[in-house]
Amino acid sequence: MNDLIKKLIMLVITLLLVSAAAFITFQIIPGDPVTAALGTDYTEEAAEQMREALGLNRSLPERFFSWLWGAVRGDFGTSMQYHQPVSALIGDRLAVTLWLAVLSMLFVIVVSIPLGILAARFSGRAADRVITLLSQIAMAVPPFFLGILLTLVFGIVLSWFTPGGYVSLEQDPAGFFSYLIWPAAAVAIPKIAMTVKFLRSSVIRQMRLDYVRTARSKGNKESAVLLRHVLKNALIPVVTFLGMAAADVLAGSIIVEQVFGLPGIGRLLVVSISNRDYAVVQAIILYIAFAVVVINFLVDLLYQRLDPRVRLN
Amino acid sequence: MESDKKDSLLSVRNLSVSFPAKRGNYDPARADAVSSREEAGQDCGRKNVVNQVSFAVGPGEIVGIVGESGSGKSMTALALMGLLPEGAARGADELCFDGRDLARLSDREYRELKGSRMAMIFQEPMTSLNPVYTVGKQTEEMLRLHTDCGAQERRQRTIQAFKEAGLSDPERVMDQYPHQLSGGQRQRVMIAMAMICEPALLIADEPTTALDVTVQARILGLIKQLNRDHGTAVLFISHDLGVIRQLCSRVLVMYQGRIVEQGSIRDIFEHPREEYTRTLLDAVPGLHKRSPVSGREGERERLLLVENLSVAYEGNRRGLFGGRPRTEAVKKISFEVYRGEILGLVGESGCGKSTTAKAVAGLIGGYEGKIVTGDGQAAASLRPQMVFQDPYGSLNPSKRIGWILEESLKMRGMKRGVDRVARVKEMLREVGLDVEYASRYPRDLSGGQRQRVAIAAALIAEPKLLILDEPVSALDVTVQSQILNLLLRLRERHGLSYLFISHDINVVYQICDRVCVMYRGEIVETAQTMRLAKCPEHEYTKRLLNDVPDA
Amino acid sequence: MEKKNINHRLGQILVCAVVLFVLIGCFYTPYDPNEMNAGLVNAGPSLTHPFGTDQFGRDVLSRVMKGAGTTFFVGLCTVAIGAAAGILLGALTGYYGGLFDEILMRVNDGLASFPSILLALVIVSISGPGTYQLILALGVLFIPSFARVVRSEYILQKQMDYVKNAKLMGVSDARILFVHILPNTGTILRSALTIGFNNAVLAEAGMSYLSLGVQPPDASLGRMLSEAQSYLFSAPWSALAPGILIVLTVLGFGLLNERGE
Repeated sequence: MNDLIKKLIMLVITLLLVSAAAFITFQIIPGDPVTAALGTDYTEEAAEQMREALGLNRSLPERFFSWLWGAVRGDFGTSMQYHQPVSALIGDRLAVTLWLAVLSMLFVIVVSIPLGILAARFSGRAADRVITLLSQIAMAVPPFFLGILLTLVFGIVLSWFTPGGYVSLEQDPAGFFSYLIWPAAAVAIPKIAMTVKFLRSSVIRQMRLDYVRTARSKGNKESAVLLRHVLKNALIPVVTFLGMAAADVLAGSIIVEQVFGLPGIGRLLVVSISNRDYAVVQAIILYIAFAVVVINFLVDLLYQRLDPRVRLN
Repeated sequence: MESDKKDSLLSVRNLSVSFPAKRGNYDPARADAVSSREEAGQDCGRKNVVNQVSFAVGPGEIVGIVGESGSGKSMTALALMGLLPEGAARGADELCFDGRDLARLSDREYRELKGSRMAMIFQEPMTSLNPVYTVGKQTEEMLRLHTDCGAQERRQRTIQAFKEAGLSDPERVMDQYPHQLSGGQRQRVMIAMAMICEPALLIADEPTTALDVTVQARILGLIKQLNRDHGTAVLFISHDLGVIRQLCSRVLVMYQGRIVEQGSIRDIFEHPREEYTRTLLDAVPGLHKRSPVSGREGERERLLLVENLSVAYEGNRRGLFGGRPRTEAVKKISFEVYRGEILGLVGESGCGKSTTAKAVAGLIGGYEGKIVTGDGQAAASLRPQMVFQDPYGSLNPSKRIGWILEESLKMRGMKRGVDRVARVKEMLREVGLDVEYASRYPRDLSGGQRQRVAIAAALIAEPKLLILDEPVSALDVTVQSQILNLLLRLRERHGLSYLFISHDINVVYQICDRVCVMYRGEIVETAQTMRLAKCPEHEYTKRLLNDVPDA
Repeated sequence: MEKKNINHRLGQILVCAVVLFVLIGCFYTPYDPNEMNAGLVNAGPSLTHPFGTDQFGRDVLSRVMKGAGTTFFVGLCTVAIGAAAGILLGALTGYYGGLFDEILMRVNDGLASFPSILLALVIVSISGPGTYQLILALGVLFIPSFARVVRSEYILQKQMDYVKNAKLMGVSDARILFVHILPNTGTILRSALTIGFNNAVLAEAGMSYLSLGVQPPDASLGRMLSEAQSYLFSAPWSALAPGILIVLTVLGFGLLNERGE
């Protein structure tokens, strides 16, 4: 328990560092945001007023903590392009992206673990070759191109779904998820391929170790050797891998939702970057960074549960 | 032999194990093993690693199999257990265990036999246990597989087995993971696991090789005791003739996949009939054959002086804010090396002998105390060079032998390539290698050859002091004695002094003039080799000498 | 064993073909890749235009040839920046260790847990979009992954006895670092380079697809996909051609790596 408290403290420190990084990054931008915002209306007075209003005349640490305090309450300031509170802009869009990421991750875990075990169990034989070849190809496809392909084949040629269609979660939950399946597949498939390859080689590596021989010498069936002895060992590195995959899936979701025209956070982010709407960019980056840090934290906990060598050190 | 077979527990006639010729390389780390296997004969595209082996084991008997690496002794054991690696094929005229023909068993019947009637323990107790489960759970698994015991009874019997295997506090050990136990404890767990179903045959594959001598002696005692108490037959595989002699009643000598000789311990050790057996026995460094080198008293010119040397290591930091724990590897030791002398530094793993060697060589800074030459100069002026234990790691794998040897000459400012090449050739000849080895890579050489190159690389720097850190521990006995003889010859010719580090007191006897015994970072005794052998003074030295299995 | 070799062979063939395609594109394309033709908008594949034309009537084959060149250029520059700085940093931190190493590795671990495309988005949001901005952003982002690989290899190698032998011979640190140890990291470095190149190609495609990388009218594979997407219904070929080329490139280099395992 003591250990958990230590980890929680580390988590808070990491979150603080990450927010500081997110804040400072956008302070070193060349050019004055006020000058840019005022454009042709620029006068000394107007600029001074605007600085006052935005709190830009205060010191850096002061500004950081007031920004952070705002962020904690969900107040990220006002978007310069939409003239709306940033939190209102992000609100629903964040949920869409998160649902997409969660669904994709679910696909990855549910599909890749059995396939990886299967490939390792029959390594060198037909089943393994087919799985390995397919995953080799799938790994090479960028998620957004896969999204385009899926739209082309299942949306346009087969008409299984309406490209660009969308209903919100409140309106029609079933419809919402049925639209989410395709982009989720586009995000998940390359990751599934990578995870299968990783798990396969992890299992094969474990199968060469001495304890496997011991397990066989006890009179275990081959399937018991694999599932009872090898699997837990082989999954330890895979957990770390899946943690990194989860972060990638989140990033992939942001790109892929452009392909399917989903009203997620990605479109907002890209538009805001193009228009230099830093308040919005900063807020989105902070959300994503927090998500990544929390994922890492959870992976760390899970890792400890699996590996006694780490747990008891 | 005939009568032997009728009431024997295990009888094997013409057992062969073969690999497809292309990938006979099941253990690529051992070039020696591979090359000797290549000569082992072929039939139809397959290479035999075990060739027409016949023997029998009676109930309650302890039979040893002895041989060097690659002789096929482990493969023989794995073949009996049905644990051969993928690609290996087994063939035999007869393979009879406990009245059943192993060759005819179905997979299921064989599985039921494994663990319950025949069990096996392995060389590396760390890697042979599953790291993510408690040792209690792993031992219980035997009962779950082979008996109908309930959970309560399984736990009781496991604790009982742990107790019998000499584990103190078995209830606590039940819930521990392998990495929390010491090497000796792990091997005891392995033995408890193997014995829990009271098998008729225990196959032990080098079970004490990875352990320190004092632990080794206790494990051997345990195996002997279990054999007495339960009447379990033991097939004991080892490269160590001393161990075999201590434990077994009969022994098979294997060489290149064949049994070259078998008989009672007494016959083999006292009247070996075969040439190879004799070579093997001669090669074993030991007290009874060679009297320890008598120390040279003549010249007492001090070459190296070590005074109050202490070395401490800083461990890994505990967390971000925690301090670093300090462990003292070497505590205030003092010794000296005389010109032309071979000083032995002997002790178990972790006693600080390698740390001492590195400090003397100048590889670790941050020590306390004095390391100087006899006339008070820095030890670096002796240009000390080292020869390490593992001949696979001490030569840069991406460079040719010639390059490796030349590097030292370049560093000493020998500008002309022609001169360097000439010197390299000279050096190679001196260590007994052909000059054409200069253009080969380390991976093309056997362990013994690599060790010769390592010695050449050290000598070409013209050191006054050579530090040898377990230089023969990784080699087979016959190669071992060749390297030791080479070292003695080189000392004579160049008037070198050696600091010779070893855990193997038999080797130390064979080569050293004086010996320092190290224990837990301290030197507990220093004496002439002869005197140490005859009347050890310190308690630990006595223990060390007693536990050494003498061939 | 045999299968690995087939994969490796296939990788070699693919890589050779793609590289040849790109090299030809540097010197010769059937049409000017930016020349518009109002009379031939979104025309399907034909003998004169094997991959068809896009929404402005530009020849897709010529654009793919030119665009792949841009993508490769970005990939190579990125890997060059990342590898050069990463090897130097990784070698020094791995060999010497110490406080500098510890700080750098913490930062490294932190950066590594974020997807590189996100960090690239952050950098580009500051520097503004463009080919060179993208190269710089990706190059800097690739330093940690190279440094990490090289560092862990140096940590392994520096404990080997041959390094101790070299020290005893009096070999200088710089020579130990780059003459004695570096060749032994070859296998791992080679696979890090191909993986890095693949990631760079994918990142370029992703960033340009989001219109934050290569800017119009220049072609790059990602840029073309982005433009072609709106015409997916009427001219799927202008999306398929660049997409498939990306897949073949990444697949080729991926297979090339197979032998190392």
